Amino acid sequence: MHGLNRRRFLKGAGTAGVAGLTGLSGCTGSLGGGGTTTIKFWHAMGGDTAKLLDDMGSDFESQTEGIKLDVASKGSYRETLNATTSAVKAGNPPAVAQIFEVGTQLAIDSGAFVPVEEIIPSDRIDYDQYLDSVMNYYRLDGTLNSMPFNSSNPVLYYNKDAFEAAGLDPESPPKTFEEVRAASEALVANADVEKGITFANHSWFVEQWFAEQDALLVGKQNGRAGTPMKANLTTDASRNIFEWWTDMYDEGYYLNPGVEAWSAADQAFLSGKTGMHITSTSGITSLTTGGKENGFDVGVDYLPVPNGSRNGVVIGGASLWVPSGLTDAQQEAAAEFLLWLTQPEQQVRWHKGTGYFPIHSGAVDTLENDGWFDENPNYVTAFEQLQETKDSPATRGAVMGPFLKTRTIIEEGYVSMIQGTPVDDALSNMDSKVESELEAHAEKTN
Amino acid sequence: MAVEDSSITSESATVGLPDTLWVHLSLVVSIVLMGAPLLLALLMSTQSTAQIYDVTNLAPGGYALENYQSALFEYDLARYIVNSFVMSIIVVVGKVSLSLLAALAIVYYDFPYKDAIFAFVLLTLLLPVPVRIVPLFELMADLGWANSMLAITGPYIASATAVFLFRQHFLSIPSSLVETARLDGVGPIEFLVDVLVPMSRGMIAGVSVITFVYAWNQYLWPLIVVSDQQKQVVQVGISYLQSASQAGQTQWGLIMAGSILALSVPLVVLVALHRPLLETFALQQK
Amino acid sequence: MVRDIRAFDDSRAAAVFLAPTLAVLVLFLYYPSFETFRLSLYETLLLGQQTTFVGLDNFVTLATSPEYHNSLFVSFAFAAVVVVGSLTIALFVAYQLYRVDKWRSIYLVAAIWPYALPPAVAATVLLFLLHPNLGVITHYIELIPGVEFDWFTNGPLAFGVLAVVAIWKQLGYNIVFLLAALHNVPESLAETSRLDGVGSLTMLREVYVPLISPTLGFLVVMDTIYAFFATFPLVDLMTSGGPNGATNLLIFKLYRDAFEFNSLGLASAESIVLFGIVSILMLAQLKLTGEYAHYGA
Repeated sequence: MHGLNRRRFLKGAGTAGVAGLTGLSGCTGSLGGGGTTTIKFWHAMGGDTAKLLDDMGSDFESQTEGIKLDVASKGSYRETLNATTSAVKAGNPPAVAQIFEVGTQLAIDSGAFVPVEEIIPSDRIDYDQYLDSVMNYYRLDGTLNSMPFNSSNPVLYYNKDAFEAAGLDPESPPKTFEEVRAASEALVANADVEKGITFANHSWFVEQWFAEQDALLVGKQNGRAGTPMKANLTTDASRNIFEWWTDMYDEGYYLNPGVEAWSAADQAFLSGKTGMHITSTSGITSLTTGGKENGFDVGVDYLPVPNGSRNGVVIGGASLWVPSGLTDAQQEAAAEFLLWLTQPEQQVRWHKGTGYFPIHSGAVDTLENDGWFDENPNYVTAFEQLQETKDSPATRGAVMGPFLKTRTIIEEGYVSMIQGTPVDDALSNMDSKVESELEAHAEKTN
Repeated sequence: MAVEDSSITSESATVGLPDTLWVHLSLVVSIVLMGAPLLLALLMSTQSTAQIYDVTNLAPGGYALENYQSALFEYDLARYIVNSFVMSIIVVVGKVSLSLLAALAIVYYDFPYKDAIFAFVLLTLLLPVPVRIVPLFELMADLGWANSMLAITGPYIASATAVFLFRQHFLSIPSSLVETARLDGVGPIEFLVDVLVPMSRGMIAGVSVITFVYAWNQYLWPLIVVSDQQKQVVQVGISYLQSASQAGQTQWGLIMAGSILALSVPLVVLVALHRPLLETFALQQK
Repeated sequence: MVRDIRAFDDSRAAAVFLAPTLAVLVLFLYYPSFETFRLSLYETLLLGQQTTFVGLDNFVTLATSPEYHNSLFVSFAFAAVVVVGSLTIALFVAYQLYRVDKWRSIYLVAAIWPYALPPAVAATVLLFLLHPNLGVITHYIELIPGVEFDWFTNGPLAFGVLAVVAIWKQLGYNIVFLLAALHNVPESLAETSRLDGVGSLTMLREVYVPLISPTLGFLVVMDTIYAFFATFPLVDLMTSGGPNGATNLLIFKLYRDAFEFNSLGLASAESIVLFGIVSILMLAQLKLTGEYAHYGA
């Protein structure tokens, strides 16, 4: 999932900070006996994904001479970020840390990391072989700060059986907001569902719909041309999104699972309460099999968009950062690990194991040649949506210090709308809140 | 509700219902209402995910073993319970020992600024964790204690409440005993171990229950200071269960099993030691 | 303070016995509290990686923040509901326990068990049972025509649900105290004030409540502190402060500002405000009852 499983997201938050110090007693990463360099890789994944990373870590060790790699899960993105910055402060950082996309600006501001381009100069890697749409998100002022790792974006999932029951064509799902509304109407009227569609009340979707309309979420080219001070939540693009979303709720077509309630949304869809669902591409495997277990076929299509204006999606997920304060040997080991991890072979394994996009074009070719996409057509959709994205500041996504706070403001703003605040009032309220956060952050960093 | 009726004596408060029966009835109703959520949780902990999603199904599901096993071992609740248990025991033993010593000093010694020092101890009541949470968190980092048993026990092993309670209790011990001990030349530690502790059994048990339950129920502080899942306590551990899902459906049966497990330990402690607990509470009000 | 039972003379020994307690209190209670005061004058970035002195800016921010005003209001309203609700029910149950003639110890254990109930468990269990989509209790509530029990969206409803959980969890504590207080009422005193021919609840109101009022005053303060501080797990697990701030208690906002939004300075200023609130409550309690100590710290 786009990482932000609600529980983890909120939970991990607390568990933050000093986690960094866990590392203290253990390997200090200095040169060990026999010229072995020990490095730590901190990530935020849990469950099967964490297990996969453990396995990949030991494979890396066995394939490389003189590097010992300790893989540890910090449980959540926020925790990993806090733990890492604390560890840098304490002089004992991990060599590689997985940080989520909205933490990008925070990570840069903290000054606790070295741009990955400095560690892996272009004579050691051909950056052109990596998917532009993914690389662009993490490239700021022309510098690639971190190595993209787990990337996903949102798609529409729909219940083919319910579509059929509702008299809709199960092979032609809705592409636009209006079509979603029409399909919902038909589903509620004719199929055995309570509502037409569900998706978590998450700012991530709002950000996606801004990008699809080629609209910027914040000023300064989405924060990519300077520190943004202006929010764009009162624009037409914004109104298109929130008016539709609020109307859908009022008309009884949208099931509101709650703020950042990823799994509640999955459940509503899988238990047949809704005929459609929007969530991350990383849910393709689990939702497809989940649908089957509950007796229906799941289709996947592009994210429905406002007014049919389709400019593309913003990449979500996380990337790998290298902290400052490592020894030369450690930094070199980190470089080797990152190079190894982004090779096609590992990328294929990563994609098949998790559903996250492979970011190396060689990996995509391998998957194609293996017939993976033929067997798993739902991934093709996800992939094409990514490939078709037009590169612009809008689709590169916003970068700002108070991104997390902004997300909370947007999500709470939507709640106030369905509680009865007129959309325009709520939007200007949200807009000024985000702007005061932006200003406060700008003051802090100056 | 009782209806006032001057024709009946206080023996029977409700029309047509003997007073004792009304007492029993209202107690049973209150207790059932208070216990109902837990009984439902217990029931649900035996159901499979499919049975739970069938909302009106209130029959035992026959998946108890599976749910409890999975919560304990697959989701590591057993480990978190052990962590919580170790933490609580350390806090209980530490707090009782330290507070007994402090109360010994305050009651049986005379030294300068005694009142000031006692006030200094009591004033910490004004400083609950939320008031100092941010620096405490940074302090743990500086000490290198973060993410360790030290971090979740250290700040809790001294307590104004326990010192206060032991002081009150010691003051109620007849001074003739003290005189005898003094004449016999008994040392302070011997006096504590051989005289005070045996005479304070009930109070120590009471303070232990209060402390144990308090430590076991901690949530915010472990959530913040423990970042390694393996070292987490059970209260935070049950929130990890919320990510447990089967084909995208949250496994509430398993989560309920975890909740029952997390409650069972302090419940057993409370039931076993509820008498001294009540006595301690009563003493505090003298 | 009784002074004449001095048994030992060596005041160095006394220092040794007091030292561990004082050391822990200084290191983990006093020092971080003073640090909180200091930090509240700073602005920080990412867990104190960078700090800037800003004077009273953080307090100004709080004073002018509608969000913070909302949290203040919600917290006080919440405390009021929890204190009144929990004490009323507990008083009733404790009184019946006090009067019951048979099976007293069975009733006793069955009534005080929520004392051991971890808030996180209370929150998890009721989150499930009252879940808007799949809660059993919700299902039966919604059988009432026209009732939609969607507390994920409805703010006042979420506030109510949270209050019910908070009250439930606090019942055991209150019953224990009230029962002890009732037993401390001298039989003769109750006897002499026994009014002939009145219902038992009138007895409770007219005779017992005045007699145990010190305990009630004490519990009002304790329950208020509980509602302010110990309800964090409920908010965190059930509502995350939502919908739209309806349950964003001060303690939860403090936590989020510190550990989610990385504003340690602002969060410290919020801690100071909380410190002010606790101090006032404690003072009030001391004035009211003199001798009681605070349980659970």
